[in-house]
Amino acid sequence: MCQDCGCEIATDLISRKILGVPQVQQVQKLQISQEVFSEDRNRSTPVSRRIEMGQAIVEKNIQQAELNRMWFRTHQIPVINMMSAPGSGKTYLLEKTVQALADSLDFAILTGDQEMSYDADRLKRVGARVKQINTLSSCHLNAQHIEAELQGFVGARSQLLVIENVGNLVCPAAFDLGESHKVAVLSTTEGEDKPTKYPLLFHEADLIIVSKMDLVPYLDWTQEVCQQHIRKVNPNAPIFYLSAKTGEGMEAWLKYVQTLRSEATSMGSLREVLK
Amino acid sequence: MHELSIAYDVIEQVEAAAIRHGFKKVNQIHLLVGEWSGVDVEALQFCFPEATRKTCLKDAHLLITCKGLTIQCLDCFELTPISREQALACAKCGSVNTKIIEGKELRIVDLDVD
Ligand SMILES: Nc1nc2c(ncn2[C@@H]2O[C@H](COP(=O)(O)OP(=O)(O)OP(=O)(O)O)[C@@H](O)[C@H]2O)c(=O)[nH]1
Ligand SMILES: [Mg+2]
Ligand SMILES: [Zn+2]
Ligand SMILES: [Zn+2]
Ligand SMILES: [Zn+2]
Repeated sequence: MCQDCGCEIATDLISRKILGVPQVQQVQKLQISQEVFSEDRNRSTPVSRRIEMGQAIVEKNIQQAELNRMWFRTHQIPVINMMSAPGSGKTYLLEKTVQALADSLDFAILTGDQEMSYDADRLKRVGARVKQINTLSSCHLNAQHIEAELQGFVGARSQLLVIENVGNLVCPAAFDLGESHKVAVLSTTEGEDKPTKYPLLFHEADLIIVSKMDLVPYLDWTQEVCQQHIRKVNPNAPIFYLSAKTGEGMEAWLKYVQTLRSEATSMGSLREVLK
Repeated sequence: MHELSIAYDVIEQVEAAAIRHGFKKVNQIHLLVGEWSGVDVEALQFCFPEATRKTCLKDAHLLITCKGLTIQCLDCFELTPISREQALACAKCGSVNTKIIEGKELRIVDLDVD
């Protein structure tokens, strides 16, 4: 049983070790038009046997992320995976969020960095329940990092989890953590064109935050151009333009966070009713 | 930036396959790497020989097929291949209501073994 709330499903999922590799599947036919980095596809000796593989190289992460997602759903915890380039203002925004919401919302923060615990220290100073994950040589968080914190740190009674990913516009987008919402942060000082240069992260975001709006007067930056770049890769996600420093535009973000929580619990009670 | 750990994931899966299928040496390994998989092909090629030095993949020929990005229009179902910095819009009807169907793959396709 789950040591936090006694539910059956959760521990079963969490304690189930993912052993070895999944079943061999048949891989679908490749398109021939693609570039191939090889001189000779069939240069192997005739005695060679061919073994079809087909599974994803990050299969373990895919499976673990699904298990995490089920655990979060069981415990009605919405999870934000916050991703951006280094220094876009993720921690600063979270500091302000904690100051505004900590009294009304019991939320946990996991913050990933390759080294050091500066971010967690900053967030602790404003009263956050936060834990630092050091990924060391790895440039992104993976689903195992999160799984390790579920029972102990996050706990079944958390009302929301925010994961601050390692500052990086490429790798975090390729590693599902089991989150319910992906939030991409883009600061005005990075320029308007990052969404089209790093399309995957911005394409998959459920919400895009444009941060440091207070700096616009000092920059050659326009909201219209920035929005065009965002819309080239993500036509529908809401965009919040804000400054955590001046507080401009913060209400929309704070309301978004609170709504995630109320949606998660009303979905949960709906499931109870249907049972 | 995490190509070395990707190489170790590959080794782990191949070693598990070696036990299942009873082989000791891989002559060729064929990977499928999507343009948006987060993996840099050159970095992977660079670290692969060193990562596999003490494994059954030592001396294996590394064959990598790259897959570009393709989206499907959710309004008219047309497939559109996308080149860099091009908007994710349908080439036929212009709709931006699309989904990625190819380009995120990161898979071991097959192995040629002794
Ligand atoms: N002027 C201004 N500065 C900001 C704002 N938000 C963040 N900053 C500054 O930007 C710098 C980086 O902010 P962080 O919160 O550390 O950024 P981060 O995204 O957490 O960085 P990493 O975790 O290292 O990727 C700090 O000096 C912040 O004070 C803002 O709204 N306005
Ligand atoms: Mg930070
Ligand atoms: Zn539980
Ligand atoms: Zn990486
Ligand atoms: Zn179309």
